[in-house]
Amino acid sequence: MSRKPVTNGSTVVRLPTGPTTALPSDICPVCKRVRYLNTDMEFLINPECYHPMCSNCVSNIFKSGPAQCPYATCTKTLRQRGFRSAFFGDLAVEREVDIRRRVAAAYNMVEDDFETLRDYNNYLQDVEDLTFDLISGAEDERRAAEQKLLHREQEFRDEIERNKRRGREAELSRQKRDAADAEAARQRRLEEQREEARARAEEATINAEVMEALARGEPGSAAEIQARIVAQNRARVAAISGAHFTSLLDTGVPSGTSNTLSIRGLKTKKISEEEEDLSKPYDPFAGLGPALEPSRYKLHESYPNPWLDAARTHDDHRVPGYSISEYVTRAMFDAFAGLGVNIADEKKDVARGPGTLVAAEAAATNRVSERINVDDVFG
Amino acid sequence: MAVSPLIVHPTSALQGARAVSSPLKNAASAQTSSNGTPLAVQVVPNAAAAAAQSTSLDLAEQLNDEEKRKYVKGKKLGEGTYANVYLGFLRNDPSHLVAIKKIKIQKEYTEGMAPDAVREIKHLQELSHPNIITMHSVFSSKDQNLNLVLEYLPLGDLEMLIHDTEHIRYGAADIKAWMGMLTRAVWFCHENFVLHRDIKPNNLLIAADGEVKLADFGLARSFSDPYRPMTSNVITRWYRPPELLFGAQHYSGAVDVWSVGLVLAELVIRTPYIAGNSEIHQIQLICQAVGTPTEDNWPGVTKLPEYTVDKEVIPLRGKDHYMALFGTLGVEGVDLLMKTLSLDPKKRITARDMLKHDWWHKDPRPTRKQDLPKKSGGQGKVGADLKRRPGIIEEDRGSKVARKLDFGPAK
Repeated sequence: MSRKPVTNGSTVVRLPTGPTTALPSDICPVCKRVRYLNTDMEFLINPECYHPMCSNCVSNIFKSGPAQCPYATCTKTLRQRGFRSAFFGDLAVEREVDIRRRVAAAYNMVEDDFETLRDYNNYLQDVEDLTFDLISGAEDERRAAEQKLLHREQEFRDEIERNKRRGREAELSRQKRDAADAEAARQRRLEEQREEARARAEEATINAEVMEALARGEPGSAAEIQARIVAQNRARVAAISGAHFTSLLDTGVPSGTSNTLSIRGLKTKKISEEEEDLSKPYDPFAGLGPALEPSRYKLHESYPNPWLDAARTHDDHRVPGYSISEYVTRAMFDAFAGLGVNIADEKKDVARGPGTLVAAEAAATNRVSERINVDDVFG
Repeated sequence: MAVSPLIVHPTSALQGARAVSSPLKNAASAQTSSNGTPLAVQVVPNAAAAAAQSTSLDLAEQLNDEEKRKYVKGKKLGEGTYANVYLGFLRNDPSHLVAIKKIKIQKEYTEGMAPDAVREIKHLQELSHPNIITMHSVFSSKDQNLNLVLEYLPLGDLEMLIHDTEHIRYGAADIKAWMGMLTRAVWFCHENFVLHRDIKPNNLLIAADGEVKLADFGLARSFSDPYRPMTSNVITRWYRPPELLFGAQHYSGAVDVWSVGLVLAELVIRTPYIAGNSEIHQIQLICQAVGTPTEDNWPGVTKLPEYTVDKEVIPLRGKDHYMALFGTLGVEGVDLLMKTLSLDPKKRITARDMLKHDWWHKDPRPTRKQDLPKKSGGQGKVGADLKRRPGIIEEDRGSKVARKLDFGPAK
């Protein structure tokens, strides 16, 4: 190859040179084949340099391994694997979309990550500046932006991964919430329909009653009879229909309207379990640290005891690390173990049948010596 | 010794005390509160109880039956030389699964019960901590077979995760979370004066919520009094500290800390760090990995009964050596590892100080237990873990390891 590769250290590429960046439609710019003779011709691009060529050229040139791009001024080494068909007819758009996708994957923070809206907007502004530099900045701007992006991708891999996961989770929970809302709304509608039908049926029976009363020739005018029966039954209809169904039984007074707006779909601020866990500092003792400290006595550094002197000094105890302080701690624990155990309290707690009474009493009488018994019979 | 007049009803006494003293007592308390008695009568057939035997035996059998009826034994999860493990559930709540470990009658211990089982019951019924396996109950079935009702832990053990390099990936945060749970368990044991003496990845079982639980107390014992020897033939060889390899009979919680350190190392390199074929080989490997124990770094070591090292003295490994191997832990993590792998047990960090170390507060923060990598389908494995004999390396070398627990000095 006569062309010298020019390394510029950047992986974001220039656009194909030439007046237009549109995908060719009829003639392959590399082999000059025409669609007229090859009706199934398809143009592919490689995101290394976005130079379009027909699928035939791709397999001819790159089948046997990576090779240089066949465009006259292009020095990129391409592989067959990298080729794909362009989604947009305009390759500039295609490239911009690719870059934006990459930037968005690296800078994937959401508003909740920021203290204030202003911070978030500033962040968005910065990201957009960077994106713009990558897409249509001058050579040095682009290189600087590329460096920034690479740094972000490498240094903050964990954070990016975490944000991604969180985004997925948020999306999932949003879908779930939407589905639940839709289901609830459907149930509500069904319920209203059912109530309305029942109220209608009720009203029909009342009307029938009125007609019957009229037919029987009860005393009073027709209007009075109707008013009487309606008054008797109003409570019944109201109980069924609630406020959903305006019936003729309604009096003139608008009683069912409420004076507050019903607002639905308010965002509920809920701290997730994960965030709650992460907001607390990690406690290596898992909350048990202070609970196991002796509370009824103070442990001293050392207790003079001639019986222990030999164990302190002899090599068979001292060298393998036998710990006198462990022994002393245990002895002190044993000495105080029985204190603070209130048998009366315990008896209240333990619900036991006649069978366990004996055992519990035996336990109670032996409690003071609990630690002394611990010595291993077999050790 | 076995008929010490002190021991009247040790299990029931401890059981009762536990019900009030432990702040972590969970829902299991209702079941455990009454289960001590039948056991006590079996364990301690002592003279004092003999007078009331005619009545108490009936009562014991009655209580035992009552306890036994609470559980339904399901299919077998695994069978071993030491015990069979069955899946079981509560009779009045079939959704509550338990593992029932049925101790086999062993040839060596036809009279009385196997010491492993006694140790296990004795310590498990005392310790109640989220990172230690819970024993719900004990009962005997026909032929005086001992049954331990344990918490059912379906997700296998840490060893599976460590050695499944193809399917399981984990990072520094996960290691820190696991180590946190392990260290808490060991700290709690030591705080209650219990030496576990068999800490290794396949004794670290994983609960359904990802919590790591220390299991297999078959070699555990309480701290010894001064002048009372303990056996040095404990802890699976790969995790055995130098003082035990040198035959020390008076040791402290530091032996467990060494094992914890090696589990940490294994979590990082995903293969046992110091895996010797024999005791001698194990010492040689420790010399290579950590440095040769000498009078300089461990005053008095040459006087230990079985002190034998190669003539060629390897100097103590420096921080850079550990950084090269375990750099993923970060500077603090390596510092903690070095402190756990200190040759001299007096200089070795204690479990409590481990929890006070800076490493826990440095980045990355430990993963939440729900988010830890886990493996499904560990049902067969939980059986395998519980039925194993304590203190033995499985794998191919298992057959060569003599099961020798030295109970001589205690008699």
